[in-house]
Amino acid sequence: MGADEAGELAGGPVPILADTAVRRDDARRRRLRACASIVAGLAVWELVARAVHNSLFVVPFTAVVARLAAMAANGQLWPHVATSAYEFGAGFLLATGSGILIGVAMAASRRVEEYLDVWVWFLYATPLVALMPFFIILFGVGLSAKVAIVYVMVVFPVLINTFTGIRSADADLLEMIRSFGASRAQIFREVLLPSALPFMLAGVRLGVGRGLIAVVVGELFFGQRGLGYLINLAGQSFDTTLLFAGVLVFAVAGVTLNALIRALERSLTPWRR
Amino acid sequence: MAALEMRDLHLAFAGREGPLHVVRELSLEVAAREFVSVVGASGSGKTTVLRAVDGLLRPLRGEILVNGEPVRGPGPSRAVVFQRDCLLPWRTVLDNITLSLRLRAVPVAERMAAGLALIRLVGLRGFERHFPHQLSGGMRQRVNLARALAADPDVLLMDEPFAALDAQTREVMQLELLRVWRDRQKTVLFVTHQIDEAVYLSDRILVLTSRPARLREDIRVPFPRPRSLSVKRSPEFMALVDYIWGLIEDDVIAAAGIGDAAAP
Repeated sequence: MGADEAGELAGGPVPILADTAVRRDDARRRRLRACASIVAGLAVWELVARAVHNSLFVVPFTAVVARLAAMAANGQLWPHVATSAYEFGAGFLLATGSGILIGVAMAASRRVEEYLDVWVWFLYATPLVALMPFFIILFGVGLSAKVAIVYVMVVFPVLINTFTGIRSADADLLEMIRSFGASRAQIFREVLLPSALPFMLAGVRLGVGRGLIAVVVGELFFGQRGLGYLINLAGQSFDTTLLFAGVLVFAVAGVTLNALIRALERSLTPWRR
Repeated sequence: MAALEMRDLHLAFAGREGPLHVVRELSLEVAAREFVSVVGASGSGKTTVLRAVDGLLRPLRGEILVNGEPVRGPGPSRAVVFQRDCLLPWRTVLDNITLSLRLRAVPVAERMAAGLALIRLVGLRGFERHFPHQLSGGMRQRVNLARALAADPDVLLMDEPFAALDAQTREVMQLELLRVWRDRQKTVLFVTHQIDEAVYLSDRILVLTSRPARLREDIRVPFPRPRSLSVKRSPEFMALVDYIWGLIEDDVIAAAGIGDAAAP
């Protein structure tokens, strides 16, 4: 029997094209609904704010946006954004890098796991923002204390997910690759790392939310710059528009980072549907 | 010299109360390019024998020789076609097939050439860049087979590779396997619980007793090759299937009835 003929007999080519077309259609519908929902929500906000007409409690969405635009135009906004972005960025990158390294080490070595495990779970379960005063004592009233609080908030979900991802690799795949005589490094590269990748990225996504919380909390404690400082200032001076403007920047940052990581996930894990 | 030899092989799992004997006193020889099937009731230790030959399980006693060399661990002289296909979901068909070559750091050009030749051999042309989840069960088993062949082993170890396929696909795959086996001239040790499959494919059939497994009978299959699928409907074929079924019937019923006996 010819090779091609055999391919036909065993089910023939799978209708992949039709399949992706359907999926693409589904995705489009989903995106449309999400957009519709956002527009509806903002409309309700706008209408309620205009009806209540009390700028202390609710300000219209358009007013918040206008305030942000004005601050962006006159340059008031940027130093705050830059400071917060630096605190978040530095803490987040350090945490992601070291979280993955420690997670891998714990998954690779029983001994490392046994030493670190209790600490990890203990610290992960603790509301770490409570450590902020301690970080101020430790690092002083500078950016380092805030980077540190972002770091401790982000590192644990990344670390734990990396560890869990590696440990939950398919036992059959591991037996298969051992059967082909793979070395430890090869087992890691061919099976463990790709298995863990979706877990790691989910951990990083969790880290984004926690990192942004850490920035706000850190800036509430001290400093003259940063979006958290701005929000705090707005609250104390009953400037609700400014308060919401600050929150909106965080919200947009959170959503954008999440979307970026999702995009990264799609390009790094093309085998997942 | 035999391609594969087992001398007084004893295999056991580590149980809570000492070793749990799975295989006892297994001694046999398989000649080069011979197609040998192992049949027996569920839980009789067929797969365990395969794993030991692959080097994933150390014998309790006795030894396994491949081309006269004792087996000490996994090595390039053997490759397994797994029951669950065990394809890497993150690798394309081509990259899955050439896995063993990548592990041995074979240059890319050589790897590609070998991979494409195997893709033609197993009838997957046009699917080189597909991921496993885009393939049907039969196609995935073709990749599984090609991956084992890529390692160019002397002995091909097949662990119920068609068990999860539907009846029609299984027949096609049996035919295909015989074609590939003729083409590549491999010694095959094939574990199955389908007796008709064993009779259709094999030169010899090793019938194991239930656990601890011993060799109950070593049967030579007399049908000439190449065999068409219609052989399966001849009276001689059915008589042989019946005979082998008779040998393991009691074990099968015991394994199914007690339930525990079938657990690994």
